Amino acid sequence: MKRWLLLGIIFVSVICSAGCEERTQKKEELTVVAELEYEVEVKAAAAYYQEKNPGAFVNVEFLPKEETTRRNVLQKKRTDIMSGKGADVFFLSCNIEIAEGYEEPLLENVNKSIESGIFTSLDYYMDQDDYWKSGSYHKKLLEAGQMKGRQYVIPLACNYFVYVGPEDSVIEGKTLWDWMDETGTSGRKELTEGTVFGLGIMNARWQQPAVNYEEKEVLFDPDKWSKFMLEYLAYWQRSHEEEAGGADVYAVANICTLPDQLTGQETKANCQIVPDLNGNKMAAVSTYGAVAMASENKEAAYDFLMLFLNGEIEKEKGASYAGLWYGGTRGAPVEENAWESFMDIHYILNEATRENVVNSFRELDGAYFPGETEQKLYDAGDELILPGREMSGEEIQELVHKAADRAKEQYSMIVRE
Amino acid sequence: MKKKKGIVLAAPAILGFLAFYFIPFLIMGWYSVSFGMGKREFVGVQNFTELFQNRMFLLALKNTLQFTGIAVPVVLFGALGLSICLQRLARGGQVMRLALFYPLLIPIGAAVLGVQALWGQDGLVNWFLARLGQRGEDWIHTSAAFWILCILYWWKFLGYHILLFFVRIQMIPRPYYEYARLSGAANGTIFRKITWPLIFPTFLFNLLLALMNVFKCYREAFLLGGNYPDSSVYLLQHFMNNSFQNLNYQKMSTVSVSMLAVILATALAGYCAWKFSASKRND
Repeated sequence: MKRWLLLGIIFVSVICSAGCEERTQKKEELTVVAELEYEVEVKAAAAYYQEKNPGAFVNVEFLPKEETTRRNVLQKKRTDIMSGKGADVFFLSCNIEIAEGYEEPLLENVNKSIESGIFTSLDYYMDQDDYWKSGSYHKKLLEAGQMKGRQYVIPLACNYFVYVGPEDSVIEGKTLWDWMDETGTSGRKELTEGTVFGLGIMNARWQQPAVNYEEKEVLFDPDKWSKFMLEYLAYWQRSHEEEAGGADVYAVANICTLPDQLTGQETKANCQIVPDLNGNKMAAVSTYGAVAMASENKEAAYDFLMLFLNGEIEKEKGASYAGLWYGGTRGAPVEENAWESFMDIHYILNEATRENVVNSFRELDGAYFPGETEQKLYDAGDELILPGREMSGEEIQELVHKAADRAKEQYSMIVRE
Repeated sequence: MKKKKGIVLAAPAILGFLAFYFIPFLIMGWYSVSFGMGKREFVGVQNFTELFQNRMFLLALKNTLQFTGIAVPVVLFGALGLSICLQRLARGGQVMRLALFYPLLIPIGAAVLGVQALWGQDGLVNWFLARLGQRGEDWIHTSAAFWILCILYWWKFLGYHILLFFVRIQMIPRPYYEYARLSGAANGTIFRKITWPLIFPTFLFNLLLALMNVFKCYREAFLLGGNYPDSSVYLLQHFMNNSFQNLNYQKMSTVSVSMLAVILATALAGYCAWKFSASKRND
């Protein structure tokens, strides 16, 4: 009996050890996991990297778009990551709440993933990299990817809401409340009409950052949000009583959707970032990059990641490879130098307008990783704002409070989990 | 020779257990005392300390215990009572049993749709409330979700337990009851002295199944409320699933090891109690 048991254990151990073969990865081999939308840029970077580092091999795995296939691939990838062999470098994106369709992300919550220890700290490599001393990266955006003062994730593209109007139409307000007062009570119906829609669709950004992960604290105030939403709905009602044709002149829109008012050589437009209820000017991260904790080639992985920031490929291959914001409508650059190319390819040609657009970027106070809660809050807000509803004031009030309370509860569950 | 044959025949199962349960469990044990991906760093009991300070884990634990404490006794004693009643049913017993067993065959998705049709924002309950001049709620996203989950559990598993009790009660020889009645025993006495002792092992078996089914109810809770449902139905599996979504292997492993420790402790306590009562009986 004992002999059989012993033999059995030896047999199982042999089988198991055969499965756990020694990692024979070559020193220069890198595995990159990226969203399919970055296919062109990442492939170009891989080719460039291999060209510059003879003997190196970059294996790129793209996450498919088709829902069922994507879900299966994500499940497998998550298991791989947890067993420590998922990837060396990640180029992933966050959903933008105003975009149609919610695409399941590989990492549901970036901040929680940092806590889980998936990513390696990049401080050592960043300290040795001149880019961070002389580069034009907006340093405040970096804070989104930090935990306990250490950098784990680098935002590579972002998006935020801007007010766009004629050059002299500057809005002075410090908070979103002031802004709504200014645009809604200015007496200029066109201004009200042009901005009302945009202020509404950014409802998931009315208070950001909504959560402080390090302090495990929810900053989102449901009462403040509800109060503002009710004011906003009244403002919306007023603005729709008569049409003034303001939407062609004024707009509040996501910088990535590039309002018409900004484009062209002759257009001298004002472009200001819209603050939130607390006066914060935050960007949502659209794309981010990170190096896996399990990577055996961390330095090479960091070098590969930096190809999308340090301009090496752009110098070699042209502006089309300037960054992961290129060509898409998901994100704007995170470094000031790249804004020139960004504006060129989007036909923002007037010098004064360009200066105003770059100023809006300079004014950013920070960034956050949007997630499912923002998406749900946006959907709830969208339902309320949709025209044609037949609800009493009391019913609307109740729905507004419910949406805010649910968001607060979800935020607090996430942060406490 | 017989013994050797037995071992050979059991070998695949033993090897399967070792390869797919025991060794992974040892690995999980290592994960529960370490941190990181790939090269893991030993952190001692830090993961356990953090886990028992985690308010969502404590909430999930409380909800799971509360759900188990309410759902299981009701389903077991309800099933027992109904199976006794069914024994006395002169006609329609088969139809009744089938009707009670049927919910178990309904796919979860359909059951959840049914729940939404009843308790959703535009559901039947709200429709009735509106008729009465009352304002409805999205009950699934309020604290009522806990009771909705309980009702769903009872509706789904009651028939299953009834069937098991019914079959066991039918196996009790009728003369036992006839003799008891002739001796003037009342219904309560007959139940206490004949039925209960004979069905007790079946009761324990049902208890085990009911406990397992409580944990299976997570699917319903998830389909109704998603990753972050109303806090009243945030169960241990939500905590585990969300930890998996965030790739927090150490947290998942720590919960699993803690749960196993609780189960082993309970089993050990039960075994000691049984031994103690057996020795008392022998004395």
